Amino acid sequence: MIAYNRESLDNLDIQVQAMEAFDKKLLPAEEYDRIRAAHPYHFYLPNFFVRIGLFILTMIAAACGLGLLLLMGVGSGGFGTIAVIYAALAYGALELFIHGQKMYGSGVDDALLWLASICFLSGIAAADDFDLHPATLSLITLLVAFICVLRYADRLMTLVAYGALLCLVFYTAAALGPIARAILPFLIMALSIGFYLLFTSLENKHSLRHYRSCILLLRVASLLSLYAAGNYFVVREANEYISHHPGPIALGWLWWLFTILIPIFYIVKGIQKKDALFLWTGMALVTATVFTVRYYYHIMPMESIMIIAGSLLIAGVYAVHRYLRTPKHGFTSAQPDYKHPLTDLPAEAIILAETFKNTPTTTTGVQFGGGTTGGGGAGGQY
Amino acid sequence: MRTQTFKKLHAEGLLSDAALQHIEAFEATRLFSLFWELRLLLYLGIILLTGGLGILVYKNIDTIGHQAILAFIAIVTIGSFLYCFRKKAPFSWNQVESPNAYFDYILLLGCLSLLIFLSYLQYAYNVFGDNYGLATFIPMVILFITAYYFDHLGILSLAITNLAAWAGIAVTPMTILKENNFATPRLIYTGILLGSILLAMGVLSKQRRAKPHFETTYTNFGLHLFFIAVLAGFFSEDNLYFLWFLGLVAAGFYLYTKAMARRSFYFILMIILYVYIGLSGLITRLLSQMSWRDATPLALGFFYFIGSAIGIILLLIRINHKLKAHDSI
Repeated sequence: MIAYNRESLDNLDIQVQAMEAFDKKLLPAEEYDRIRAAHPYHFYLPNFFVRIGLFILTMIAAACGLGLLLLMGVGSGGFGTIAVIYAALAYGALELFIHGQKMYGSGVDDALLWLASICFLSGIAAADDFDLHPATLSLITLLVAFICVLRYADRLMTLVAYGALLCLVFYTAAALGPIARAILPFLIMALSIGFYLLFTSLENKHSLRHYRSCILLLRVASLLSLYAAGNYFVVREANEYISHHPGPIALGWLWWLFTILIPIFYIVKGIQKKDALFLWTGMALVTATVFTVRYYYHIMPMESIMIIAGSLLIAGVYAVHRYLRTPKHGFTSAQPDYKHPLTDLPAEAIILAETFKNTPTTTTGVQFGGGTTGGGGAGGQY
Repeated sequence: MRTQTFKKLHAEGLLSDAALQHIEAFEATRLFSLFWELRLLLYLGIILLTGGLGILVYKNIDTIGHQAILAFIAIVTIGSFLYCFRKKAPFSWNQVESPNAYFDYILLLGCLSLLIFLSYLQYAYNVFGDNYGLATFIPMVILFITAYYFDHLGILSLAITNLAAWAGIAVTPMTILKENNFATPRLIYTGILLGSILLAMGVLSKQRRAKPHFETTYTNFGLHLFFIAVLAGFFSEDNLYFLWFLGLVAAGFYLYTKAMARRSFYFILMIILYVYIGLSGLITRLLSQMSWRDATPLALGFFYFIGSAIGIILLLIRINHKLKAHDSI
């Protein structure tokens, strides 16, 4: 199923974990070396920035290749056929690079995978004069993305597959009639819960170990889709989109309840279960809820909200920091000597470690996003 | 880390009993750290507070309440700086560790609110007069002093941004291309000059051992500004563009050897991409001067991009290999 060498994938995973243990000084150097020698991986893993460069350049070369093909094939088959043929060529090249050059997240293979998939989908859509029903297009996208995930375990492709699945449900139900439309949000919420439980149970399956980071992303995605399906703004806009009835929607109070309670539920759950996934999703969704409320109700001017929220956040952080000065209930506010639990991404860990091997670690990771007086730009990253 | 993996390694005889026990004990007693969450929330809080204060001042500039707002901003500024003066480690020209995890953020809060305070003073009381240069020059000086005195890379970035603003250029990643009209020669030459100065500052920081870790930040801003300005010169020049191209290649080569010496993949990639943009611009120009009766120039262009992109891919792979091989020695 998976295109990459499985033994190398397993060994890479072992090396990443051994590296982590070594970094935390839980593992003597000689044992670390012994583990690395016994579990070698044979992947071409270039430096992170080289990967970005290879991605861009492969995209340029491949796009011009398609242009050349179109230039030569004008009049003999049209865009759709050429795009599909080109997609087949790109998939072939991708397989060659994976098996021949042992590429794994090298930039070249990432670019080829995306280019092939985009060419294939646009070729299919063009073959039908871009007249496909959205549900059909979603189904095809889902199939292509799913096959790509199975074969290449690409994380972003996993999200495409999940998004296509939701679109499929959405467009199918929207076409069915008023009752189906009315239960659509509940259907997507129920599906999201079902998927969350499914993905959680799959996450630690040994047979799916090479997809672990994909499944982790799917868990986040299902939490997000559960929130989105119950969010007042999303339900109202989606309703307007399907039934062309702008304005307030039925059961408004219920959607407001979901909008407000789901992020709180995630955060509480995250604290209870000490689950960073829930905690971060909840924190991000609080922002979404604030924007949703602001969109419909202007309780007070934006700057007052910003000042109050900012002051509360600063005071809150200070209070929690003081409270957890000595660890309580299994929580601490001290700097961990390990990486963030959400950075459980195998290849990146190795690549980053090799990139930043001889850079001094700085505790300041401040990055500016802007500010009133014209914030700064990129800080000390390289 | 999953204990399962280490149990397997133990069974394979690669892991000693002691190490396995260490790892298992670590995993069992591991605390859930809210460190990153708290830092993120604090950063968000500072951005919200200073952003809100900025808008509030701007909106209430003519009303009676502005004295109170001014007082509040002054209190935030003074409080933050007092905290930083009390907690800071002794000054050194080398890198200084922050006394605690929140120090850098408090200093940031102080600086941002100070900037708001100064721009308010300028607006309300016109303290710097009609000299707008002075109105950006003074905050810049304060920011540079703060960055060096308290050793803060983020504030150094702010200071460099202000330096560029003083020179009339926006240099933040989001604005460098959007807000600058690089077709004007004055801006191009200012950009080249400022970029060179920043690059020189980077070199000096390292040579004179004056906060050597600031070098990367200087070089980062300087390199992008310099190349964007040179490329702007190249693209806006109609006749002597070949000279600009030669300048680009010469500067690119010089910076490339320096980046290779310090083995920075990021700078190497950026230099290669900037020079590649210039080369592609040159080829496109030459092709566009050909006769366009048929599709030959277009096809040649495609061939050029395919060939050159593959060539640079091979180059990057070689550089990666070379630097990595060097790594292990």
